[in-house]
Amino acid sequence: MASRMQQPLYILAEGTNRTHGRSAQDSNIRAGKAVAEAVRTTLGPRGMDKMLVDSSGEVVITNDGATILEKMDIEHPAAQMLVEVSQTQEEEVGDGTTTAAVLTGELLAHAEDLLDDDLHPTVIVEGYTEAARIAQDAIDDMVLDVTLDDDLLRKVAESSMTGKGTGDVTADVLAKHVVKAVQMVHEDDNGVFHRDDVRVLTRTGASSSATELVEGVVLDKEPVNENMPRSVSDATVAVLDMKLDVRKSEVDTEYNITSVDQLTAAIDAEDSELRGYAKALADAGVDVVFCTKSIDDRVAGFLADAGILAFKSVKKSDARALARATGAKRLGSLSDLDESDLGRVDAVSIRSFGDDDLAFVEGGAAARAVTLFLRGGTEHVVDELERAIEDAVDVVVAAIDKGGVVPGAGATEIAIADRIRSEAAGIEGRKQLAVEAYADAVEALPRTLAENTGMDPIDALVDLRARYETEGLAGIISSGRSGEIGDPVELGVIDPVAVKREAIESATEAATMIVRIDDVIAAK
Amino acid sequence: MSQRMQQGQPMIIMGEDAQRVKDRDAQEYNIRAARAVAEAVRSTLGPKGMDKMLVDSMGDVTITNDGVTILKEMDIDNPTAEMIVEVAETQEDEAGDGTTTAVAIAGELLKNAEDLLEQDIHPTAIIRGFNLASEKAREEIDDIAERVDPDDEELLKKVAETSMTGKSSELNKELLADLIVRAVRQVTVEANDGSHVVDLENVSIETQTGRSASESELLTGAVIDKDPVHDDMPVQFDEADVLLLNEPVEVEETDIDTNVSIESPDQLQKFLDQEEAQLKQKVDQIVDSGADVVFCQKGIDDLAQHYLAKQGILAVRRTKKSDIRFLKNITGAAVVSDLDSIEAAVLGRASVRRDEAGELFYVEGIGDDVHGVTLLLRGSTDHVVDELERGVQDALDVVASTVADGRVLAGGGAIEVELASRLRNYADSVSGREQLAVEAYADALELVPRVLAENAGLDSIDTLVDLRAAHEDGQVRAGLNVFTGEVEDAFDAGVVETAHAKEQAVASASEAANLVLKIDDIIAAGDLSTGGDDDEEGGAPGGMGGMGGMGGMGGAM
Repeated sequence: MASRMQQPLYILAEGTNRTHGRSAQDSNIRAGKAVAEAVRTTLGPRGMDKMLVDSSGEVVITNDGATILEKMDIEHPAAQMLVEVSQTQEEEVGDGTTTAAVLTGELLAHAEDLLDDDLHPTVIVEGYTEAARIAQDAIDDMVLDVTLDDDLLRKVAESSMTGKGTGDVTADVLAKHVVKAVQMVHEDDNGVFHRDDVRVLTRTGASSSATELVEGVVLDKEPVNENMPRSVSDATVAVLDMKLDVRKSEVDTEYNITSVDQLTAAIDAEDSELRGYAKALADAGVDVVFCTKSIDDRVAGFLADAGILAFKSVKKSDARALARATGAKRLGSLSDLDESDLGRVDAVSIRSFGDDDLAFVEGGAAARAVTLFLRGGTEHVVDELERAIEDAVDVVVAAIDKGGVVPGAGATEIAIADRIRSEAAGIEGRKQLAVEAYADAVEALPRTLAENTGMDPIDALVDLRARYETEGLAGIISSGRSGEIGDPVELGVIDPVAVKREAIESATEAATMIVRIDDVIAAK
Repeated sequence: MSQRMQQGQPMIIMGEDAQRVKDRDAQEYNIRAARAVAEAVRSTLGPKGMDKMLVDSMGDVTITNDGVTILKEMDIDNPTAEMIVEVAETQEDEAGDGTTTAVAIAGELLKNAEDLLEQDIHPTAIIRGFNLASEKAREEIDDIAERVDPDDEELLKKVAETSMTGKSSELNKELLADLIVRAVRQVTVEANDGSHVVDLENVSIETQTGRSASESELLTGAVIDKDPVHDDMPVQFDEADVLLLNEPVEVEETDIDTNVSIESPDQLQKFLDQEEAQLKQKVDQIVDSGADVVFCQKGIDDLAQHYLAKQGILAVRRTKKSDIRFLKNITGAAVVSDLDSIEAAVLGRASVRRDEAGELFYVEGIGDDVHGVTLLLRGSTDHVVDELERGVQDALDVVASTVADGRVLAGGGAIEVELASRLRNYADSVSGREQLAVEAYADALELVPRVLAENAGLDSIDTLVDLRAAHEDGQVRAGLNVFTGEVEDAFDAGVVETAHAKEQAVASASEAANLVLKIDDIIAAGDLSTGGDDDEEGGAPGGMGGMGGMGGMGGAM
């Protein structure tokens, strides 16, 4: 083992930083814990927000774990693993990012104690993996046997939004909008849910209580020409993926003109080509045109003359939503325009908000896209509202599509911890200690919840366990200035099961990955 | 540093910045550098091996247990150390696994060589001895190896599991081993002479983050990470005719810059019409071929996209070249590089499914003579799946080589101890100082069980002694169970390695050690970093040709 001691020989490039053995483990674990520590105060209905200021002075105020970690400018490589965990959580299920990060941190903290007790890292890894398996079983058992009606989904959305800065609207109004939005577009003909169909658009001004659900698409666009109608009802819609402009050939072409007549002919030809677009659209009975590319000013004029409302440079994602809302096809050419290529909507109207005009496209024939139009006093308010709503949409979808719901408020975690402890006794070898440590780590979630609510964490935990023992269900319900132990289902605190599963999975994988490292080699 | 110049007034014949290290100093320098490399990876060896976290200058993080990945990412700046890294790379290319073992053995060989050098044994004698031993060791591996039936799935799974233990893929090794063995069996064909040929070109690995590793799956077919070019295209086909196209569906342009002068709008119109007609014609050719799905390696013009969508054809543009090649195997289609000469015969058949959440296409071949499977690996984060992929790739190589080679060995240090004991017997028959080198070689091989024990927190000497005793009793398969610390039949315990990887490890470790030993002079134009050029290192391989014949002497052992 002890190699011959000599002058150390450097085989690595100069400036390379290397730590190994216990010090590498310590440094990684400390970094992981520090990250978890940073977000834990945001957990739960009484969690607080963070204000993050970036290097250019931009301010973000948020309660959302993934956003905090992303903006925190974290450099330590192991800490980045935790950021990744919260990002995966965000991408997969859209919520529970703080939970995942806190759980990873707790798992690392307990791993540190186990390493002190001389448990080999691979044993800890085995134990944690085993415990995660038990946890998944426990989650299975906790899945509530209820029908996912609107009422229940609203509770799920509400649970996700509590503690976030949802402005002066109480969460229940927003939850109603969210659930309705998701239900309206939930499944298309193939039985597939497209998350993009629920769109969120924000606009400052008014108060957040002015938030509304638009059954269609809201575009941040103005008509290309002032003379176009500002509102059209019962309209035929075309969505174009082509330029309404003079066509140019792929080869460079150049007029070589010797007489005035030739010039006139060229100008006339262009003119009639441009008129042709407006005519083709008017003939097809189109009332509103959404174009993802440019529209020549002259064409805009002709369209206005024909009484057609047109928008140019519409974003691809907007065009997609418009197509899904109105049933229109996206056209790359007008030459073979057919009635079936066009869509229909009840109304298109331009509404002014401050200096901006927004186009509301409502009541589409296909009705496959809806927009949550969020209002709020300031930029920061709507931004945070948007994050909360996006998360709420995700959890509602997760509840419908990914296996149902479990009680929230720490109740599921208590059940997991209890199950792991009782099964731990049957596990042979040192692994058992790691399995038990996992139970402790999971309990850190209700503990943090209690702490943030203003309860004594130890008392709360003991009460929770006792109540779970007798009634099989116990969570932390915030009330007044503190909290109490209660039945979360009765009080409507419900989480999608997918969020819990993903948090357990990704926290375990990240923590075990970090525990296995005994050597960190960082290039300059 | 001990780069002392020769005493006396030096005669300077080199550039001012040049550095020169000679004789014992050079040997010492080289050996230490090589050992430092070996030292860096040895803690990753075995089921209780640990991982390394590597951070590059951009701040990108790699977490791995894979020897060759560690060495590649380590930013090594020393000419000798880089030669050792090459050992790992060769091992990876040839055998796909056992890179850590190869490097660790190379380091140990050099350590033992150092002792021999101290006893005034000339490097050429050591090299000859190492060569003899390596030759002999490979013969013995073939002798010890057990022939297996390539259809024995249980055994193949054990081989895959052994390769994965100690890596993060271990946590789901039953599932993954099953997937790997099934994948390899899908692409194995029996040649006329009864040997098995595995074409790993037909196994592709795709990774996806989200969900856990236990939800990884094996798909018969390809996973194409692309979107349709147009939203209105159909994306699900039970039975589609697939066209693979290596020609842009765009207006043809000359390579030379052309500039057309026209005089009237009619002329312009003709150009425009002609261009449109050209696109239309290309689309018509695709339609006429009967294709439902087009994977194009090049671009597709916007207007052509529109026409294709109208015809209800699914088109994907800028498909990766490797994907096209894979699709060719799966669908049985030929790649069309000129639409003018398209025939129905070149189309392949496949079912196409769309995974909206993952934005992927699953393409599955229809028919008997289609080969091609995709291992879809999942893990919670990028780093998890990356490491999973490395582990699975290695296991895949190992299983493939087992099927092709048909020989396996007991792992857990069993083979190394057995080899060492046989080499020691053989050493007695070697005359001259080479005998000592052969013995040193035997000692070096025993590094593997020693490190296995060390990484598991066991006493390495006790373990080694127990193992030696067991092998003395004729228990060829006796290996170390690192979980219990007991010596047991490794084969029965499911620790099975391929003979091919072991042979390669022995061979490349010896050659690298010999290469380093032969050097007695390092001349660097600048300082001794690899920013400058390498020194001389050409001599060693040539010296080995003559040694082959002698190895045969002890063959009947």
